[in-house]
Amino acid sequence: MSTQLKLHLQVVNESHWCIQASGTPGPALSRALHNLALQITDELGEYISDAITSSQSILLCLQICNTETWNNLQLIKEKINAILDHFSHVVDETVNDCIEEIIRLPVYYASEVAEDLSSVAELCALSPDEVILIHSEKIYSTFAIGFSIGFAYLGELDQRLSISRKSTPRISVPAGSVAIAERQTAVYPQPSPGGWHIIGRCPLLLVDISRDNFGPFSLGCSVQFYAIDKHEFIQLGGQLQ
Amino acid sequence: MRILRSGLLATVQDLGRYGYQDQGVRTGGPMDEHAFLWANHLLRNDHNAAQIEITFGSFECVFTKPTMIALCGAQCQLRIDGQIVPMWHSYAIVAGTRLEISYTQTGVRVYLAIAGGFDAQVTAGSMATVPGQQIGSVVSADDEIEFAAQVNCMTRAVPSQFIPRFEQEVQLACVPAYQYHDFSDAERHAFFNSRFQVSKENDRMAYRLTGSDIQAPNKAYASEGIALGAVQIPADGQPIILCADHQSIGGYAKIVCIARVDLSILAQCRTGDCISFYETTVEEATQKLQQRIMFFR
Repeated sequence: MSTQLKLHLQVVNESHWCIQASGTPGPALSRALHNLALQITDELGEYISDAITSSQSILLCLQICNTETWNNLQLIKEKINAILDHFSHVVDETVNDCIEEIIRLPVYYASEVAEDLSSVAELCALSPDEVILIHSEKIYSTFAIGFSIGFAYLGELDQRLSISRKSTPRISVPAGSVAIAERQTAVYPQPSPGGWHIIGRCPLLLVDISRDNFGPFSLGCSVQFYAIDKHEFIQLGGQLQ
Repeated sequence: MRILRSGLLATVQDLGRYGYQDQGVRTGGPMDEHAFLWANHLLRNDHNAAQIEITFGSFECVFTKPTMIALCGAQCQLRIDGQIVPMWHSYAIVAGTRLEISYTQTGVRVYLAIAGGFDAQVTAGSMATVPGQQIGSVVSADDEIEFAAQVNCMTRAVPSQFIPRFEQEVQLACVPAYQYHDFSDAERHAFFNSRFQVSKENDRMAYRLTGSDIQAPNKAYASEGIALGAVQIPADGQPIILCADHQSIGGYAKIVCIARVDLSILAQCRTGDCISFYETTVEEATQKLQQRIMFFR
């Protein structure tokens, strides 16, 4: 089934505009909006500093310190509308995986780095090996980014692993922790508080602020986890503590 | 410059880190853009030159090279080498000069600008600091902060008509935005006709207000990009005004955006101050913002 994307530019306030999209929210629409956001910031970066994409909209931040922005407000709107008109993207729900690049993340699934692996297995009435298999066989889509640096909400997690968040969040979750809650999974790229169940650890440095690296994820991109052993985990830079 | 005392929270700020909000990087930037822009203007700095934002004063430092400085923002007692001098003014500094900033008498944030701007850690093109994301520079006692020595030139003062009075009751202009039309007439009326108080939960990320409950629409909203100054109405009905360190996306209902220029008024509000809101148009808010930006170019 395909749907034509309908896009509408509106003013939010004196420094922000918004593109609203009609169409069923989902990975394909998210990827389309992400690509549209990239096109807008590529072509109009002089006037637009940020394009923040979410499941059905893109928030545009105007470069308010650039006097040319103020001199050209109408023209900028016209240029954006022209981009929207030509952004003839037909959203197809069924063929969203084939051409898409998949981010593959290695995970050491073991109790010594994942405090909740056994309890998750118990709660789901599965063996730890089954939990690992179910978690790693699926290709996930990025549903949302932006609550914190490099933290991407990935979904949908298999129903068999669906459990509520922990009632008491941890004050600090180690960097690289791979976790699950409800129908979503994620990697905590940096130490932070967290209430999700930790089932593994990714050895890669996903976010490195000192190098202006804020993570590999973008809205709608595909992610898959694969299991590695302890030896490879350490080789790839993983920390056991 | 060597810091002797840094007060409650002192951070390096330029006008903000833009271009990475889609990756969850918050912009940061000065809470009071009016004071920040004046301080740079007095020194003929680039409008984006980095300054130190000092919260509630109680700041002391020694300069190790000659330069010019300017201080704008919350009302404090300033001493340069023991001599009391007024705020909203620039000053010539020689090596060894000591600056003392008292606890703020009214207002919250004071901006210390230096000729040429401070030279601090740059991340993704900006020196703006978001303490909650460990990006930028939080300034503490015993820190040394770099700047380029400058030849002294004429001192300048902000004309008095541009120096705000920091009141305990303020009115903030608002542009209806986001889910404004999903709120009932009664709730919109309540929002614009109530007096709210600043709760103790106020910081660089948000000002939480207490007062009349505003009922949010009975709908779930998808997370979407948040504009600076957006006013969220969460389940408990108590408005939250999103400020410099706000998250880039969120899913609570938002009723209005505070006019950008009026965020400078909010930035100087303390716990217990009263806030009421009035409606303005995007056109009017745009004109005021544009005026401010053009003035300081």
